[in-house]
Amino acid sequence: MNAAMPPVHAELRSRPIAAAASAFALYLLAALISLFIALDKPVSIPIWPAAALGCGISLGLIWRHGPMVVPALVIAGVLAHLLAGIALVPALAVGVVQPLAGLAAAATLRSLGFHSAMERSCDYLAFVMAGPVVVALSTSIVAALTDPVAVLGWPELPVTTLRGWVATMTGASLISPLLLVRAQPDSAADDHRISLLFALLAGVLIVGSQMRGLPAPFTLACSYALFSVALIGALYQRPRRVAETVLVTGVLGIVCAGLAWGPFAQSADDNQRMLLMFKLILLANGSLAISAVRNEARRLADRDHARLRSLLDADRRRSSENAATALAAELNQPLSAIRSYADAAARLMEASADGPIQAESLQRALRGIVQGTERASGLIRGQRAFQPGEALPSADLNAAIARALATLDWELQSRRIAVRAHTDAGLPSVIADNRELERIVLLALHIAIEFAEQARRSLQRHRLTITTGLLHEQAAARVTLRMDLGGSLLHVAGPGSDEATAYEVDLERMRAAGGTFAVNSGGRHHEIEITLPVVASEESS
Amino acid sequence: MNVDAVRRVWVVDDDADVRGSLELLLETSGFETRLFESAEQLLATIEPQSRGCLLLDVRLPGIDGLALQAELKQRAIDLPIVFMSGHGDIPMAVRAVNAGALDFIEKPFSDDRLIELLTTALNREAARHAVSRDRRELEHRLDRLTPREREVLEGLVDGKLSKQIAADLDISPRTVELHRARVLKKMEVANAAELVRLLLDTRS
Repeated sequence: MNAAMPPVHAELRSRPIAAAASAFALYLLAALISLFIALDKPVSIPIWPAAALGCGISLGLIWRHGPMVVPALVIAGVLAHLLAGIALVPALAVGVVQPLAGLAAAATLRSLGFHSAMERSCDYLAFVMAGPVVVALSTSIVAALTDPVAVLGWPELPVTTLRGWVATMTGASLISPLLLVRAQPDSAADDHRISLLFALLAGVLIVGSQMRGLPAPFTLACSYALFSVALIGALYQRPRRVAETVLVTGVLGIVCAGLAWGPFAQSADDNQRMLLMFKLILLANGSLAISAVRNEARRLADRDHARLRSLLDADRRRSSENAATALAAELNQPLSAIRSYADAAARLMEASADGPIQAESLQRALRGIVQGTERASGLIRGQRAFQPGEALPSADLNAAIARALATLDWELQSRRIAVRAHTDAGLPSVIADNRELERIVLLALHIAIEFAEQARRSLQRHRLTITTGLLHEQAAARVTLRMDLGGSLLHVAGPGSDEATAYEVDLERMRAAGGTFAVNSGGRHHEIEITLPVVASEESS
Repeated sequence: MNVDAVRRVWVVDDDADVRGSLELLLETSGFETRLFESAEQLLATIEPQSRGCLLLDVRLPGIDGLALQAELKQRAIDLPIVFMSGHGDIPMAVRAVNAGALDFIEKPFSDDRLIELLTTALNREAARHAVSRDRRELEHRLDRLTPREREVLEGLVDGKLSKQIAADLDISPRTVELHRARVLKKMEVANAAELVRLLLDTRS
């Protein structure tokens, strides 16, 4: 069988085995080292380097190779604990739960749409935050399995959870080099490079201080500072703001420590104070992180908006250039004929000085000039009417609106603009080119978004209602984009005026087809109206 | 050299108005025109012996102007070509001229410029035709010579005396004189100097 197997199939089959073997070896080695550190130098919370390293590595390996490496990790975990002299039950508990925690973390990241290229701050945040939750749960589960009575009583459960958070910070720090390795050379992950190095430093510091037997508060303070710098610096993606971030997070850490060890918690023991401090720190850092992610979302939306606009402008320019080139080529033929006929007429007139006039030829030349002129003017008339002698183009207005909304869906969501479309299903086709119509609707939506941005003062949602329908005489279809701006439109008025402003966008081609495009603003509402002639058909008549 | 100019212009343009106007302009200026709507129509009519020059639009339906130029070359139809275009396509003009076209004019063009170009093209074609005709005539005369007369002719062209030619060919000087008289008669020249000049002129 094996001899008959093609080499490519054999290679494909050997890949999962190689991945599982490498995962087993790496996990066994890491678990043995971390267990040696944890058991040899127990300080205050001996479980966390081991738990963090185990969960972090299992998360990284599962993310890289998929769930197929879980059995290898389980075997390696159990074996490492047994070799370290730990009893069978705790060894089984830790060996099984940690890879499963990694599996759950990887699944959580996938469901959150995590991009391992780390192009967005939310990816970094998800990576750091999805890990802690799972590690905290895993350490709690392990503790509950091994010593349920102690864990369920206060304050052991929150302290165990706290250990989970700290452990995850360590784990995230230690596996940060993986991110550096996996980052694409030209991706935005380069922006995170400094932050990831800070995170790595935090991890090394924690492990190093654990091995040297340094006091827990010192270790925690240092690791907190470095990790905060890493986290917030990464979220802002601006290396020059690292100093600012160090200052902010440092002050926050001092304030939190002051509160935890200050007069408000005088009766608490060290574990409770530490727990309180970390709760405050997490609250502060969480607020900063959420703020950073929101800012980034806005920045990305602005960038996409500008990019879309430039694309629309480029498309418009290219269309104009193509139309001009085509018109020039078309006009050149009759102009050339006119010129030649005129030259011939001039020669005939010159020749008539020496002999009889060639009336027939002269007449032919003049007729040719007239015909050429008519042909040229016909081309110009056709261009003006956007009807170059062919059937009028028809388009589905509702479909164009649906496509435009789909294009801008993410931008509308990120700007908290709720869209409600009331489209008339019986709307007949309208006179317009499909692409041109879609461009016009996109333009209208962009104007609406701009107005919403200018009018925005808080986190309020805006509502955009799109309605399509026939005008009463059935000669035109109308689409109205009505935006409720919640009475905050004062800044939208025209230059130097607080009054409502109304203006028209110059869309010559649409006007030539008999359509109009108008933007009317005032008071609470903002409206964009597009009217287009309806294509005469049996359905519409 | 007798230049026998034929003022015939083969015009290919897909636009009827342009064709009509060119026909009138060229006929008014003393040219004879042949009008075609497409390259295929021209190729169905024109032959290697055809005279005149070509006025081709670059952009044509089907076979375009540059492809037509290549096809004519392949069919050994070596008439001068003037290209015209309404698109101002400089790279295309360069390609056309590199491929042997006489010139490239942009529509709309002045009649003087067009007529000047066509006149140049026709004169060039006439000169080329005259050379070709003289060469054919000379070859015809040479074909009438016997092998021995050809050997005597070569000796004369090399500037040898009758005795030297007789020694080379191992015949008597008297016989060489007889062959020499026949060669001059068949080549329609009065003496040996005129014969040498005729051969050199035609070869050049």
